[in-house]
Amino acid sequence: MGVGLRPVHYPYIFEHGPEVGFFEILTENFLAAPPTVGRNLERIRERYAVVLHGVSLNLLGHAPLDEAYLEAVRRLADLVDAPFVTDHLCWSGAHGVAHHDLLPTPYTDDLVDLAAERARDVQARLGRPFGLENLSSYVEFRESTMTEWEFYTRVVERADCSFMLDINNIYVSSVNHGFDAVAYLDAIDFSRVVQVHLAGHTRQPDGLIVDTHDHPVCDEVWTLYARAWKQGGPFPTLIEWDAAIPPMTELLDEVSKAKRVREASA
Amino acid sequence: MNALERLEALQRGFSEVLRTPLDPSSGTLRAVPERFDAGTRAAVVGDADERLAVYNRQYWFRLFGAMQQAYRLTTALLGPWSFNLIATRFLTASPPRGHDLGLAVVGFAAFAESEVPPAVREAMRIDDAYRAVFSAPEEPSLQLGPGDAARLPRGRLRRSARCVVVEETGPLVALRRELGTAVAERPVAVPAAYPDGTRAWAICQVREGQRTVPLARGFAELLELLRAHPVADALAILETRVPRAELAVERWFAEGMRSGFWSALDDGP
Repeated sequence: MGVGLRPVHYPYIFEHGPEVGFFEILTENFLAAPPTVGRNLERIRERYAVVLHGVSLNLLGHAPLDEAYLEAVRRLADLVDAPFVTDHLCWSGAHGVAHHDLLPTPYTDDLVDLAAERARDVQARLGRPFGLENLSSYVEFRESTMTEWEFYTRVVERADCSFMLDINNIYVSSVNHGFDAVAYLDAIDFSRVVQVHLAGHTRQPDGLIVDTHDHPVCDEVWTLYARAWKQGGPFPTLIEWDAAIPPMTELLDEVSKAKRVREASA
Repeated sequence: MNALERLEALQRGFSEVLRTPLDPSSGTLRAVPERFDAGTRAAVVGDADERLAVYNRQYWFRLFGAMQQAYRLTTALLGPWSFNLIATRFLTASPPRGHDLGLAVVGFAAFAESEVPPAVREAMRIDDAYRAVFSAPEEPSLQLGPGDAARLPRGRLRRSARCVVVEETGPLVALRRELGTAVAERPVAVPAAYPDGTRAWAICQVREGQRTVPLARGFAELLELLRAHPVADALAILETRVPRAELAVERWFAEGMRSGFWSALDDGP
């Protein structure tokens, strides 16, 4: 079990050394990081495994992959000896502008080919396992010719890379687009799952769910997690909490809950 | 069209949706789907407008959040509403281009300079100083050894990039420290100006965090002189400008060394 590393938790981590298996860092926060940030990461690395989770790969951007960015990620992964690196099956910028968001595309055959070719290339350059995360999304495109999970599984299998399976994202998108989250899980080859993410979200008054990562994991996501564990566990699991970040102890409560759910579903 | 050409077209329209400025006319910042790119609205299944509005709001509020964090003091003086309106104009003219969200703010102070009153300009300079020292590359602080005594008078002290001097006409640095990491939810009154002129502070990034060092008038003047002159010359000029009773040179040098004002002693002139 791991948690997302956030600066507000450094004092607790350094003082108490919580029993977590690994920390996940947001890759972009540590590329050319200020010295203070780098020193904190070194201290974390002395005791814990660290994995990298990026948001700027722009795998499905119309422009070619950013070589300098990829090289910087590779150096960082080498530096912390990351067991694996993950990013998203999405685009995040276009025409030279970075949108700092994870944006969907249509699900089509030719984009399966493009994404798979690029993901394979990324994994080769990083020289370590590369996992692609499924998005939470608010729109679907008329142009799509397959379901999201068909698109996702075909890309990962063709690229021969890994799933970074976000179960909260499956739930969020299943509500927003009216599909069956269980059918999504059933399509996943768990032997390829490098990590699972769990997080909270916000439900708007109109019923739309926005993936805010600012709440505890909801019951429906715990239920899906239990099913996933039964279906394909064990796999590393991470609690993500990126806004309205609570004390570390609250995050550790979520870790404990995940362990209980796993035990109950084993 | 091939896959890349279709992606390019889709992403051009979607990017326009994201970057459509929020409308302030109702007193809150609202998405206006009627202004969204028509092709993107047509490409989306179901209730396109409301769904695209989620992305549009996320784009702006993520950037507002990053800018308000970097310009905490400025945001407090302007209030988040006015700050966001200026930020919208800035980000429309200069959208973020790199993966580092923190760099989205670069150029904001120069952009906003002509739009804000003098006290807010001062606040932007102070916010910029904190950001600059935090981001400055690590370099060892100057540690003088016994062997340096002979070199010191004719040597030049090289100012560290991890230490910036700011001047204020009222207690803005204290206000920023009071704010901590919180972003103000409403405007904070501009503090009254000091009755006796300006005050200076050195903002320094040290191993334990950020140190804010008050600078007596003579100390601030000495630091400025040391940028242009060897140590002995700077001290000689200082003595002609500052009454002897106000000089505390040894203490100032000790504080400067402790806070990492300098990174090296170069041989002069």
